[in-house]
Amino acid sequence: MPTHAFSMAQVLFRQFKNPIFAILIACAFVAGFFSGLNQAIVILSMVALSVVLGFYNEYKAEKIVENLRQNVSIKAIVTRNGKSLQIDSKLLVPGDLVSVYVGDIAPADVRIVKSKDLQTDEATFTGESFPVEKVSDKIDVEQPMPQQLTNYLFMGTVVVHGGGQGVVISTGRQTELGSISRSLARPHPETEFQKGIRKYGTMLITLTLALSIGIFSLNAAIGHPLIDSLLFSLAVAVGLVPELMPAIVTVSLAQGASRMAKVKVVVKRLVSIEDFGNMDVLCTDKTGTLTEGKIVLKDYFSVDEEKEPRIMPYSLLCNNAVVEEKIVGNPMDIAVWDYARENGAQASVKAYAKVDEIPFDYQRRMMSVVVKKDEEFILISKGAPESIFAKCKYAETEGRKEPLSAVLESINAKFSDLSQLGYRILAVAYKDVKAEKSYTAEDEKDLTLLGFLIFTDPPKKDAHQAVNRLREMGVEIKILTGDNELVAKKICDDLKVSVKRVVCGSDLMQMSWTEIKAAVEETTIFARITPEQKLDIIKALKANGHVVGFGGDGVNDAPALYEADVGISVDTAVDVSKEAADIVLLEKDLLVLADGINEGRKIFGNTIKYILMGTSSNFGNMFSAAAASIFLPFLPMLPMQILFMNLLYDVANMTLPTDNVDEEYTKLPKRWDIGFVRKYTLFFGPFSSLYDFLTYGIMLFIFGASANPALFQTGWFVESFWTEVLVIFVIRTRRIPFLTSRPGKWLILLTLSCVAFGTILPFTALGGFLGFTALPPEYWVLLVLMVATYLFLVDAGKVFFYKICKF
Amino acid sequence: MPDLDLFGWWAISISGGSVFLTLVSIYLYADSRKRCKNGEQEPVNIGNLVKNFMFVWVLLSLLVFYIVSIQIGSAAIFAAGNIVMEVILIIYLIRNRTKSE
Repeated sequence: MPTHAFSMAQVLFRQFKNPIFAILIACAFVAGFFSGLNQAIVILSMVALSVVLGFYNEYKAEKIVENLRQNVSIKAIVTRNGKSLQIDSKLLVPGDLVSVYVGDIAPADVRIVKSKDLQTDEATFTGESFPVEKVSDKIDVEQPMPQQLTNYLFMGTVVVHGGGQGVVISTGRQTELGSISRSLARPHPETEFQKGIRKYGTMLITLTLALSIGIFSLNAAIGHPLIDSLLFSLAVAVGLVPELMPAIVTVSLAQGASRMAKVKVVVKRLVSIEDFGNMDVLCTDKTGTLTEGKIVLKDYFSVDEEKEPRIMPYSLLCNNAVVEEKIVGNPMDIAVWDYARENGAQASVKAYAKVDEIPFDYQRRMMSVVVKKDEEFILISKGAPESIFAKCKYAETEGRKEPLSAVLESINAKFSDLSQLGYRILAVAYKDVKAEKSYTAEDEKDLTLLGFLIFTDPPKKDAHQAVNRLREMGVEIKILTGDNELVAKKICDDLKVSVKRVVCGSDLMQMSWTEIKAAVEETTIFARITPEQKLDIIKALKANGHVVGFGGDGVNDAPALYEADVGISVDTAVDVSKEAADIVLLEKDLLVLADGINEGRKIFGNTIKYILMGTSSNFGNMFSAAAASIFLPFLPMLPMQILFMNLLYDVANMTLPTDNVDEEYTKLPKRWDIGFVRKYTLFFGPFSSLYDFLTYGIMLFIFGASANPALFQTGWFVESFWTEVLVIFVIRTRRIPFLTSRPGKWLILLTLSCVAFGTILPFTALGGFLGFTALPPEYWVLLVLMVATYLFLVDAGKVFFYKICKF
Repeated sequence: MPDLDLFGWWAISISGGSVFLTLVSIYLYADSRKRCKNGEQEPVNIGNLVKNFMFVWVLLSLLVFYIVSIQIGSAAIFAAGNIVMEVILIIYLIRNRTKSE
């Protein structure tokens, strides 16, 4: 098995791949060189904080994955030189003869050479809920699907009945399981959210470079000193960058992860949270997610479809389950006992005494017991309907025996209908026998068909509600299963999931990539598919522009879990699938998933709020600073003041992750749309520029600040800070601020505290240190009125903007 | 009277900002019409333009008012004008909200 190689250095290095860090670090160096260490230290501290937070979270997640990988260890019984040895499966080589028994995990991929009633549970591998019969016979199928390899044991599958011997064909990395694990030893595909952040970083770099170069050239051209011009353009560059964005995103994600844990959703990879909320297609396996993942006896009835009272005791008697506190054995035998216990029918066997048993085997595909009731001996047989029919001479209808041939046609029709509905069926027959010392399979003849047992893996109780909720949330469900299409279709019918199209693995094999991309759009059920095909489906959906979630818990699900934008597994899943997943549900329940998606949408909503507000405000402020630098004889704000305002603004935003998100925002999945961010910045940025210009006018022409740079800078600092921070309450929602959309209490508290701090700052020693001075009382009156007009105007702009720009 | 050179620069800057915002609004409006399917587009007429661009008319009115009041150099006129504009904006906002908002 491949090892999951990662080092602290790699995780640390990954943190610096963020382009925003690159801008910040470059700015810190230039600032340190030209304007002293203070500014450089402030910027580098912000970078360090973000790196430490990101590193801690990612490293912790990587360690969990590493631990999970180390938990996989399988033992094997091998025959070498005529001696049986138990060895670690890692020591097996192709050609070894291995033996497997009930409860064993197949230690390698094995070609079976000898089997005795061998059945394996391949649910985690192929999605098949029912045990699969394994034999040594040759298979005559070209390019068989894994489900058709009945003479093959796959490494990792569990033997649930019988035993066998086989020759090791491949071990470790060369096995099917190994190839699945190998596919995980590659970098995690970039999530939609990461792509969005990367594009956003590129947009910021372009904007920053363009503005900085433009401002520097313009200032230098009109005769400002070169160093001052450089310093100012540098401050504008820093002012444009939302320094704390990585930290706020990480804190937002971490807080979201913590809230999600409360709804039993554990986040392994933080960056997947946003995509979790935004996924519009959820591909899921069937067994255990939509169904209980457990075989139950749905019903039993006689040949004439009546509740024949003898069927239940006969099925309990002709049964191999070991019944103690817990029932152990074949899943169908267990299901019969569970049914009897739930319906108080287990006492019905008390009148009978077991005399002999003719065990199950795969030639007969049935088992029989002989029981004694009073003085009568009865042979009871239970097994595959075709096998039982072959041994029956009569069928019991309405209490009378009549020749089986008279009813066989209608029985076969019923049997076929039930099979089409995805049910598994066993037939029960009996005959009176004489007392003998022992009985053999030869006695299984001239039986009377009594009735049928109908088994199913039922849908989960809340699956219908969960599927509806996901549909309402704009998440389309697609079922990817290794099981057959009839069973999958039946589950969809039960859950009222409309099935647009069913595609089988064999159909997919014939399709080109273009055809697969078209097929995934219109297909609801993919049945009998291989792990590779699951991967292709996920890739095709992603290529079509969907944010794809994949839920699975089997070995066969691991590659798809890894490839999906959001891999969702469950706590009870096999290790390799938990390793591959981004999200682990502590309950295998789609309702839990819906809660998690809702939480993910809130986190995305708050992250986007920060990005939109930060970029547009910074852009507006820096745009006005750049314009002012052209006509003012002094800098409109000192670089240190710009940085301080930025820091204060980011502090005000620190509680944004806790903000309330409007209900309509979480109704449907959202996408990162860099075009929307650009439009938003272009539209809302100039609002703050206009009011900055207005403040310049007030300061210069009402308060005569043209000869008092400190007064001008203070006036602008306070106005700029007020507008930048208070506008959060307007543009955080599309509704009427405060009246129909209440901000989070911590956001209100921290924002207003920051506004208060920014207001009293000019009157403090720190304000003096930063170059601020006291403002005249009339200014405060004008400021309040001007900011109020600004907020109403932005709200009016918001109504216009959202009418024409959808997000 | 304020320093005319500086005032001239300032008036050009604030007017430039308003014109830029108006142009962005027109661009966004035209872009949204382009993305609308045929038949879903609102007809272009004076009534719709006045209604849809109401905030732009308010913005341009504010611009004129701000330039005039700053030129006069009166804090009282500036304050009173702001209050009037706020009332106009509140009426506009109340009338233009949908039920869900």
